[in-house]
Formats: sequence, C-alpha cells, structure tokens
Amino acid sequence: MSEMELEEREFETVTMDINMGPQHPSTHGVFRMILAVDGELVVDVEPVIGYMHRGGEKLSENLDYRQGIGIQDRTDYLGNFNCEHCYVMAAEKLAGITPPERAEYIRVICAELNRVASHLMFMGAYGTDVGLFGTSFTYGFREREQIQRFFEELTGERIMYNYFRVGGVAWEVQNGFEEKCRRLVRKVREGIKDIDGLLTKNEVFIARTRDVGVITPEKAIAYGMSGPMLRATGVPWDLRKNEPYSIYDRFEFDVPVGTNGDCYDRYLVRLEEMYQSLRIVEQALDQMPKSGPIMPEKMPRMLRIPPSECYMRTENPRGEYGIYLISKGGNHPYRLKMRSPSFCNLMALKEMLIGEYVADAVIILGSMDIVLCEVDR
Amino acid sequence: MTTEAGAPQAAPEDPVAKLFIELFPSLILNVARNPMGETILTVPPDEAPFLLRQAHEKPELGFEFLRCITATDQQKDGLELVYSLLSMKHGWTIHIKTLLPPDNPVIESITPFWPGADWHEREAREMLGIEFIGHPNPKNLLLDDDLDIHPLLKSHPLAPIELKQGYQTF
Repeated sequence: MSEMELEEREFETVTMDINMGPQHPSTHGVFRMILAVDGELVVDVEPVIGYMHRGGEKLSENLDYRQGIGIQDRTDYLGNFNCEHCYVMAAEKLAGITPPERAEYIRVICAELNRVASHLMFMGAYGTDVGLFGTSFTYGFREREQIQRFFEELTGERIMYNYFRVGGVAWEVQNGFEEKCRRLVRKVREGIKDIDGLLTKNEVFIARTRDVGVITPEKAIAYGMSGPMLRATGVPWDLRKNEPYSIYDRFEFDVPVGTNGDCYDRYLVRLEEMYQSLRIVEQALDQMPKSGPIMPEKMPRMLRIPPSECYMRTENPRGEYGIYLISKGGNHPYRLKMRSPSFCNLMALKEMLIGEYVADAVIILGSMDIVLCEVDR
Repeated sequence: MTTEAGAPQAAPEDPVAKLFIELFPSLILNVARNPMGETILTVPPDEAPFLLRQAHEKPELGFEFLRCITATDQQKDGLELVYSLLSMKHGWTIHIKTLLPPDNPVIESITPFWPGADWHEREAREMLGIEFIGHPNPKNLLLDDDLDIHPLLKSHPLAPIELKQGYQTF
C-alpha cells in the first residue's frame, strides 16, 4: 500500500476498561477508579468507594459526647483537630455551653497547626505523584514531624489526639507551651520556604500541573466543592471569614484565591494557606490569656443535651466539614451525619478527568487531597 | 410555629423564611429555627423537589450550594430528609425538611438539576432504604454491591461488643 492510502484509512479503536484498583500507590488510600480509556485518553471514569467504611455514623449514635470524639479523630486523620472542633462545637451549641477564652485560643492554635501539618502532607504526597519520588516527602515530613512532636507533648498522641472536650479542652498545656510554639512556627516557616523553592518554580512541576484538571467556578459550586478546591477556581469562600465560628473573627489573615482552577492553582492556594495559618497561630499566642480555666465551672460529668438539632460546620484543610447533629435528649446523639469535604469534592472527579490523559489521572486525584477515611467514614 | 388558620408565620426578624412564605404560601407546613438561628422549613415530600428547584434557580433566592442531605430514621413518624442549602450570594443557610411515610419512602431525585446531590442520595438510599426516582445510578455506594441491608435504620441493631469478641452468643 502506498503511504497516501495508509494515511487515509481510519483506525478502529476500542475503549478499554482499566482498573486503578484499591491497591495502588497513587490513589492516596483504598480508592478504586474504573477508567474507560481510548488509547491514553480517558473517556469515562467510575469512582468506587467504600473500602474504608466503618459505620462511623452508626457508632456515634451509641457513644456519648466524650466517647464520640475518638470517632471524629479517625474520620479525617490529617485534620483531626478540625473535625473534633466541629463535633464539640455542635454539642456545645445544642447544650448552650460557652467554652472559656483560654480553651478557645488553645483550640485555634491546635486547629491551625493541624492545618499546616495536613498541607505539608499534601506537599509531600503531591510532589511524589508528580515525579519527585521521595524528595518532596522528606521535605514535607521534616516539618510535619516537628508539629507532631509538639502535639505529642501536648496530648500524648502523634495522630489521634482526642484532646478537645465539650466545653473546652481535656487538660492544661505543657510547660513552656508559648515559647515552644513560637519556636515551632519559626522553624516551620523556614521549612515551607524550602518546599516552595523545590516545587513552585520547578519546570517539570508546572508542566505537569498547569491547565490540568480545570473546573469552572459554577460547576464547582454546583457539585458542592469547598475548601482549597473551590478557592483555586476563584471563589473567595472560606468559612473562617464568611461564617466565622469560634474566635476566628479576632484574627487578621488573608484567604488565597486562585485564577484558573487547575492543579497548579490548588497547590499555590494550599501553600499560601500554610503561611496564613502560621500568622493566625502567632496572633493567637499574642492574644491568649496567660492563665485561666480550660473548662466551664459547672460542667456535668455526663452531658445530656435537650432535644434539638443543628448543622455545625468548620473549615477543614480539605473544605467544609459539617456535622448535622440531632439530639432527642439523653447522653448520645440520635443522628450524627458527617458531611465530609472529600466526599463532596470527589463527586466532581468525572467532570475534571474526562478528556485528560491517564497520566494526569494521578495528578488530578492528588490535587484533590482526599482522605479516604473521611470519604467513607 | 403554625397558626390555626394553617398558614405558617415566621419570626419578624427572619428575612429568608418570610421570602419563602411569600413565594410559596401553600407549600410550607411549618417554620422553625434551630439554635444557630437558621430557618428549618417543613414541606410535604411531593413538593420538596419542586421547592428545591425553585430555591436553586430563582434569582431572588439564589441557593447555589447544596451543603448536605441528612437522612434520619424517625421510627414511627417515618424517614426524614433534611436538605441543607447555602446561598453564597446572600449569605443565607436554610434547611428544608420533609418526612416520608415509613412504609413507602419514595421521593423524586434532585440530581438531574443539582449534580451535587448525587452521592448524598445514593448513600441515603443504601443506609435507610429511601428510594429516589430518577437517580442516574442508584447502586450501593459504601457497602458491598450485593448487600441489601439498610444499616442506619434503628431497627438494624449495632451488635454488642461482647458478641463480636466471642464472649456472648445469641
């Protein structure tokens, strides 16, 4: 056959189903994607979740308001303090309890340092996804290790803190809390500059993440996306600013917003958020009362909440974490619905992935920064 | 709070509830407020998808963001669905509640016009047995594909720990 004839003949192609199975180093947990690919182009994707479903909501119905904090820790294991914060605030709202000032400041410091630790994990894992195998992990984890050591001194645990209580926090902070915290903030700030230098202007990183996985703001809102995913598309919605809870209205901080809605913008938004969180921690250390109670005086030993319901939400590192708490009296919830940000963000995976290459599937999934325990509860 | 005449009354300082009652006076059964100061509107299950569509598409209401769909087993009263909506434009949050009869928990799906309801409805279906008509993919989400139980119903018990650990048998 002449070359002209070869060019004109149309190749018949068939879409192939590829399973990016639950055991996969880049799916950030037990997550399964059934990709229908045409060559290297993704034509359809079906996400399959549920491998980490542990029945957290049903378990919470049988645990009282102190035992249930352990379940919240294990829901988002990277942003634990933020989940605990939401749960204790929901219970406090229904019971009409106001935590003392010192406890509020300790909570904010813990929550913001936890946000930094979570984003450091993202930096480490995302650099690995893009191709810097190992290097970005060690950069991210060097600082995360210091934060975890600080929390271990405070609570006794490196990850499953279980420190917040309804009404305040469990016990007083460690000796030298303030100077240790300030030293930690300084060191972490230097470490973030290192990660910034490694990834932000890296040609390979930009080539792999620029204009990949773009989503428009209208579609993002329709899918219920929140957090850095939504802010990267240009929507300046942050619950700490728009619906201030706890004492966040006393701090000055900026909310970074992206322009394109691609993976690179999501990375930049999270990077800047880390700097802003450290700003909040420093202001909280300045404003915190030097001494005072950490639990209200008349706290009952077994908390009973009158019949009512509310939807309490916090700004987790991944987005809006919500708890719809229905109480019918008694010392445990009647219904505890956890609205996790990764669950809602993951609904838009199909939207972002169709039309991209298989190699970009890993990049897009990595940029969503999902935590499977939170998706499946 | 409902008056004897049947039309629900809103608290004077609640602009959202007043707007809803003005626009849809016949649909709303009850108006309440939760401890956070947000409105909870109770509507019958046949009208709930219509009201949600109006809330989503009418510009003066402008609820673009579906926060959460909470499905609860209220036992004898039925199965309760609470749609929590957010209007970023106005800064309003409302909760639209509807009660489905326990023997026939069927409601129209809102996924066709609100893609963010997809997995919430799938989870409500597998956890409580509520059927959503018109849902594009009503398979099990978190549980095994062939498992036909509805764990979050109150009649589905949580096994005592002793049973699990082998100390106690039925």
